[in-house]
Amino acid sequence: MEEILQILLSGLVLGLIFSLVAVGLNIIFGVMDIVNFAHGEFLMVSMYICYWLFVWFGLSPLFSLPICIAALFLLGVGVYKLLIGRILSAPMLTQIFATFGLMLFLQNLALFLWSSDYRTIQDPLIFGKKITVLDGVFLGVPQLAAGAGALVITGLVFLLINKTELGRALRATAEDKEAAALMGINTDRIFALSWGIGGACVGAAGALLAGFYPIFPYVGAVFCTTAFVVVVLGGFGSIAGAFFAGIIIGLVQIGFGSYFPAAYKMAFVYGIYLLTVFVRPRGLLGKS
Amino acid sequence: MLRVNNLVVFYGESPALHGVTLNVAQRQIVVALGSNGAGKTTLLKTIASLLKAQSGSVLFRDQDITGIGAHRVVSRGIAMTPEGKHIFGRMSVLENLLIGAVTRRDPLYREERLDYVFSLFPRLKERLKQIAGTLSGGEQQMLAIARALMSGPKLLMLDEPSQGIAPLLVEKIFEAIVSVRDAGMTVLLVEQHVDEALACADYGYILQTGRIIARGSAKELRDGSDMKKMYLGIRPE
Repeated sequence: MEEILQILLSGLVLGLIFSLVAVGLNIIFGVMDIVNFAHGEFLMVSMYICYWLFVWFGLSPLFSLPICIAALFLLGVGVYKLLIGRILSAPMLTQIFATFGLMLFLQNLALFLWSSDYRTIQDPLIFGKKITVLDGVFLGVPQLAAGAGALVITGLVFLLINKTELGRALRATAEDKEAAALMGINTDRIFALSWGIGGACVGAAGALLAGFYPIFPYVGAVFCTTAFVVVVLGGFGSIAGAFFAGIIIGLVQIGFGSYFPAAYKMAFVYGIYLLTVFVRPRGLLGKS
Repeated sequence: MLRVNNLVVFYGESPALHGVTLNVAQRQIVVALGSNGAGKTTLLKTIASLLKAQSGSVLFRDQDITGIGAHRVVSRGIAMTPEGKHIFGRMSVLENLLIGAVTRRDPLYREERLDYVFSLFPRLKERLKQIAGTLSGGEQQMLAIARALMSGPKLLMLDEPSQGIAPLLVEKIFEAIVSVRDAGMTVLLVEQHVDEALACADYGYILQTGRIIARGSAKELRDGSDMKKMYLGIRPE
């Protein structure tokens, strides 16, 4: 019983992080129809920002969170302005290679600057501390903070997209770029903002992860490939879909990883991916 | 109010407009007629700054608005309903209307505009919460026009508003267009329904393969039934 609860809890925390990463990916995809293959590397950049802020200034990742959100928002906007904005009318293959190339560039830049060492942040504020949920069921404080933080931020993004004027303009642009422009929406600005918001989501996820997850140049790949599965399962363009799918994938990964050899856990995740593609290609909440 | 001077537009390699000059006077309904591929849609899209002109200019209220960007054209006071409606099908009717007022932040102004478009199309008020994609074709066209009116335009451009709509509703749409002019706005209309369009228009141009081949008051064009036959391929009734 305790074991199952423990698995559910850990899966939930991981799932909430997946959700946040996937929501960011999905906003960019929904508005632009461009898959950001460098999304995982955005996560990596955010984690390194946390790491160096901790090493240099002793700043807890919890306090680095807003800095990471702002920094990755700017990175997203910058990537749009310098790279994506120039290839909007280019063939899809060009766009894929552009974000794929950005992924390789950021990975190798991190390798060059910071080596392939695994680093951890041992923040005295939270590191190694845990709370007892029930007898025999524990949750690390960094994990608790990450899960709660991811939940709150995903909720805020959901409200931003669905309840604000800006969100309405984002959704309109996602649905029909030309009609949106005819309404007076500056679609170029919306494109830049979608990259900014997508970056901010993954920036927040990076800061929340940095409290308990090792930091290394390839850390993005671990989360980004999973985020793709989450986006497919939840449905392309659907924020709520990405949220629920993230939790499902988190539970699957921890659940199967606990009862089967850990090496196989990703096999189950990709099994879900294949099943979705075959049975319901538009995903749980995707638009047909 | 709107002056289009010698507009040349390329669509890919081939020219779609070969030097079109056209005037739209204030508080008039001006219609551009022509068969498919005559360049009517290209003309509207270029005025709206969705397409770039090779040469020539678009002047609106004596200001050059050639290629200033679609969203800026809206702020200058020109709204357009594109061919095929292009409503936001996943959003509610109300949200579609609010998107139409995206250049107008003042909530009081928005209320005023909402009241106006509901007086024009009372049916939209009944469907306010409905998802726009589930409306009938005619209702979607009403929504598309209402949405364009939400920005409070001085010039409304309509690209084939009668396309794919039940005949009964076509009449309603044209009534609404007349009412828009009577409310003080100017209308530039692109149509294939020649008779209905000329019945409500003040002035007209006839386009053929990217050139203006005839122009005149709506009455002149109505009477010249031979010309209609020749250039538009329409059988007189």
